Amino acid sequence: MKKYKKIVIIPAYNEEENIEKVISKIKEVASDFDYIVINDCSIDNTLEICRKNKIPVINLPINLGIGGAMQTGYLYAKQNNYDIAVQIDGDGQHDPDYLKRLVEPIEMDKYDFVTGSRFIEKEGFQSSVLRRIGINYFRVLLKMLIGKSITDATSGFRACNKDIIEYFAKHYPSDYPEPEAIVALARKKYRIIEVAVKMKEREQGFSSIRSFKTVYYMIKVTLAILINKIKTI
Amino acid sequence: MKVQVFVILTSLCFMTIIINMVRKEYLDIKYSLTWLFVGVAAVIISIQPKIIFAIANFIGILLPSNAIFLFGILFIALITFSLTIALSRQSFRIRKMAQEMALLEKKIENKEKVV
Repeated sequence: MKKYKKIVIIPAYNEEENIEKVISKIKEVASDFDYIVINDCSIDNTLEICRKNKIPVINLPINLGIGGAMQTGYLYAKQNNYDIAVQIDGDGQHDPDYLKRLVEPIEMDKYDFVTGSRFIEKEGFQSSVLRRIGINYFRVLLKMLIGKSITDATSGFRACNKDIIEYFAKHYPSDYPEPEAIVALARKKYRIIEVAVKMKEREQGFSSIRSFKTVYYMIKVTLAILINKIKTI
Repeated sequence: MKVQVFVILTSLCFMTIIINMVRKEYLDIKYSLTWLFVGVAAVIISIQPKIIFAIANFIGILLPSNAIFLFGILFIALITFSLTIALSRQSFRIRKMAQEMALLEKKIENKEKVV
């Protein structure tokens, strides 16, 4: 099998409590991966901790949100000629043990995009009821739009190949990008697959999705997804 | 009757243009939402003008058309104000970015001097 240049992109906003653990786990179980932290203008000590531990970090001067931060990672991956890019969230929910399982379909050139779902084998942290209702909603919506049943469209634990790195570097949604990105990729006829992963409960800090903004988010994301379906870029 | 048809057609036309602009990435979906909402509200009220009659009655406005004007003006004021807020926010962010870039350039300059 050809030697692939792989990078893990870790978007981080106020993850001073978790970031060191995430990095040391990656170094431990996936030494063939490079990694880069994208500090989304954190107001805590995330940046200082990265610098202190000599963790490669890109420091955004203003907060862009998960969409802008991830796109920065894809730009970096493109500029440095990486073949495969994997997203791992900075909060410690994604287990680097699954990195190999995530990139294998791409290395075998069977698929272009692999996303990790915690609902295939229903192991590990299954999320709150509210979140699961949202995830089920996206599963039904995506099934209607792209014909595939994606059990965890909001999962940030995903890997993509070089073509997709180039595409995301140019076009990446800004708000709640995960489900919309899948629709864009399906539209462009990329080969998509889900693999089973286990996720951990968010260890410290707060998730950036608050339940009282949920309805507004759902309307906005649904509309964005529908419009993406008719895009030509 | 003619007014209703005119409003419905104009609103649908307006909404199509907005959605097409978002589609081509000329317009951010976040800012298009309020305008799409206006379009939808206009279509609904055109189909069922009784809604406006009821609201005008409830507030104590004699002519329903005056109620339309009142809400139209309030709505435009609201949208304009929210845009002012968004503009202010962008202004802060641009300032921060400009400063960071300038400081970065200085850092590079200093490093080149040492070399």
